[in-house]
Order: sequence, then structure tokens, then C-alpha cells
Amino acid sequence: MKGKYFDVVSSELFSYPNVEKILEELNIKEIYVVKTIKTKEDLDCIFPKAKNYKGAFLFTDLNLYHVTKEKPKNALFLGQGGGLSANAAILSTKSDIHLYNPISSETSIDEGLARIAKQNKKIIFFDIREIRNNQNKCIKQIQFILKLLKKHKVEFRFVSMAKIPEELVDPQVLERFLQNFALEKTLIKRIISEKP
Amino acid sequence: MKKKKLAVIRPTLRHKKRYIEIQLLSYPQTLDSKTIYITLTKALQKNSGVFVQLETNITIIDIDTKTKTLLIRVNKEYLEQFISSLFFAQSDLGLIKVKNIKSTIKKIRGCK
Repeated sequence: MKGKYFDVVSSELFSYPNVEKILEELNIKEIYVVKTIKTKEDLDCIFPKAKNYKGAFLFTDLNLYHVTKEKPKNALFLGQGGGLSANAAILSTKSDIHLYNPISSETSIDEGLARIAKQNKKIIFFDIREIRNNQNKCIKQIQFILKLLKKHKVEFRFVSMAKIPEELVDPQVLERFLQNFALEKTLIKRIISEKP
Repeated sequence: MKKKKLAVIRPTLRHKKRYIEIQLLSYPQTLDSKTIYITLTKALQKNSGVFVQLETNITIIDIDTKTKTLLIRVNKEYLEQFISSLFFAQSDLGLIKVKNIKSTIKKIRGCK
């Protein structure tokens, strides 16, 4: 199957040999390399230099994102989701930070939050690793959240966040797997190939 | 006793097949068809249930140990479920790449 796909991977992935070759073989052309930001100094990290590689920052603390004044251009900013309050804090800001992994043991996104997410043009990123490692809780939560997101036409993406090459997923496999979530083929194709 | 000729299955009643070529990009061990078959069936059972797994009729036709490539035959009707199940098979087999999906072995060999 021909097509260009996008993915968000961890910066730790590039410590393994032949990663670039594997990404090329999987036809993943647009790659966001994520660095987890825990302190201010983490922002000075160096990303792999290539034409199709872009930087992305995952903020575990939202305050750190607001405090940071000089933000790199063309980068993707993600906020660590979880419970309802953490997700609400990210989705209600009008800045360009998006929500990553809004999964918790209780309700993490409700009707109101989905509406706010649409208003603020937020994108919700689901972690594929979570589906594999934490199946029972995660699949049920994602099914519930996806219904809300589809109803309110909120943008969402499924990303691998791979730290090791084994955590990457062939887009062809992912495309078929996402059909289990009752998503239309055209929508699936768009969310795995269209970069945010 | 006179031998009775076996009735030929009509083409419309025959199970249509699909041939899938997959490559294991990060499988550290040597390829063993039995363990791979067990992993694939378990993954399919997890994804779609035991009835789909039985109907899919997974058959490993060829294994190329040098390139770590497998040629697998499945029932055409359950092709999507089989490919979807590779998502779960990855935890045992490492990164899997679907290289080709064709209706005959000849066409798969022609793509190389």
C-alpha cells in the first residue's frame, strides 16, 4: 500500500541502530520526535537533524508550558493527560498545546470537555502502547471517548510514542486495527496520514 | 467395491484465499513455523474470537529465514481481522511489516 504516514516517536528510539531505515521501510515519512519536559533545562535538547523530522515536547506539568516564553517554532506541544481535571486544564487553554493520552480509571473526557476541545481547536493524541499494555481499561475508555470526539468533530490521532523499534506499528496493521473502534475507513486513513 | 469419484467443489462454494507476505523486522530468534503459527492464532483469537480464528484457516506456506519473511495463506473473508490481529502478535514477534497481499502465490513471487 502506497501512502505517506506520520508518527510521533520518543527521542530514546534514536539510540537504537537502523531506526531511520525501519521508519523508511514502514513508509512513515513525517516524524515528530518527542522529548519529555520535566524541568526548564529539558527544553534545550537536540533533535535528530533530518528534513522530515520535527520536534515535539511533552509537558508533564502544564505550568512549565505556560512559564516557558521562548517556544521553538514548528514544534508540537503536548500536555500529559489523565484524570478529568488534568484534561480539562489542557483543553480549556487557548494556546497551541494538545492533549496526550487522556486515559484514566474514571471518566476522563465528558460532553462539555469535548465541546471545549472543538472550540479551542485541540487535537487529542492516543498512545498505541497503552492499548497493548493496558487493554481492558484502555480500550473501553477509548471507545467511549471516540464516540464523544466524533459527535463533536474533535480532531484526534493515534501515535506510537515508540521508545524501542518493537513498539512501532506498521500503518497498514494500524489501519485495520482501528476498524475495531467502529471508525470509517476514510477517517482512519486521514488520522494516520495527516500530520497535526 | 467400485471406487466412487469425489465430487468437485463448485468454484462459488470454494473458500477464496489471500496470500500475505509479512516481514519480521526485529525478531531476534530463528524462525520456527510452529511457534509463529501459535502466536498468530493466539493473536487472532484475542482480536476476533475463536470462531473467526477457526474460519480464517491460517496456513504458513513459506518461511525465508534469511530475510525473515513469511508467506501466509488466509481465508479472504477474514483478511482484515487477520491483519488487525498482527497488532497483538507484535508483542511476541517484534515489529511486523505487511509487504504484500495478493490472490495467488505467483503474483506474490512476481512482486519480488
